[in-house]
Amino acid sequence: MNGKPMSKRGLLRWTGGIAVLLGVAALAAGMILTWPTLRDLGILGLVLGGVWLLFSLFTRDEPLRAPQRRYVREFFPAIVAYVVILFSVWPMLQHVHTNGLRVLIALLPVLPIVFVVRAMVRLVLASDELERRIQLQAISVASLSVGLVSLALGFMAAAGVVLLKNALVLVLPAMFAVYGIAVWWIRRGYDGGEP
Amino acid sequence: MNNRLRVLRAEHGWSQADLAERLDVSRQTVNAIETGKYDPSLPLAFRIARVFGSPIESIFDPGDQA
Repeated sequence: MNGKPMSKRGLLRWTGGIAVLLGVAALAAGMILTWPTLRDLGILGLVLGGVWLLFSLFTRDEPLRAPQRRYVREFFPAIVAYVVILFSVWPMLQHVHTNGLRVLIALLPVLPIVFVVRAMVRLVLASDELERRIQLQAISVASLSVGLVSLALGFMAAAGVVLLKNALVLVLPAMFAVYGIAVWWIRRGYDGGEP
Repeated sequence: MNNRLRVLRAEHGWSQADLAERLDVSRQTVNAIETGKYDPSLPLAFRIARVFGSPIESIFDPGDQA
């Protein structure tokens, strides 16, 4: 890519802006077509995009390092493929009754997430020693907190207090979310402006 | 651990980003070392010493930890 490399703030603005635009489109389409799932996704896109744009205000305008640029190049195609599969292929499940094919379609969204995880691992391996320490702390916080909540919910479900429908699907996204917040929070402790 | 990183960097007229590029670390890591929030590993400390052309003990001082 020619010209000035993308900065952290620029990346947050771009992704936040796209999420807001897609959110508005999905929200409008969901309301016009009276499709609640699409409407809810639109609201989710708006909220996430808004949070991203808000974060961009507090992010330094410094260029992304080479490993971070590679992560962006690897992460976004994978996550776009995930969304496309989720909305185009996965709904076919209700019309497919062959077991083997059902397993294949059901597992298809996992494939792009494997590439997301690969991108994350490559980012951590290419990071400097402080970044690795931050990542390790964040991954520990994410895995232990989500694991504890899962354990508690599991016991409540076993006791018949709550009904967990398709809850396992939420474990990895919850870990990603907590990990992202933890990285941001822990990094704040090390950061500071250049005097 | 105390260090003279900020002073040496200023003497060379480098920004944190300049030094980070020379050390192949993030600017945040340079900042964390300068402010004493993070003590570098031995290999990174030696890289810092090499970049400034100074002995490691003239840059880092263990202070009360010694």
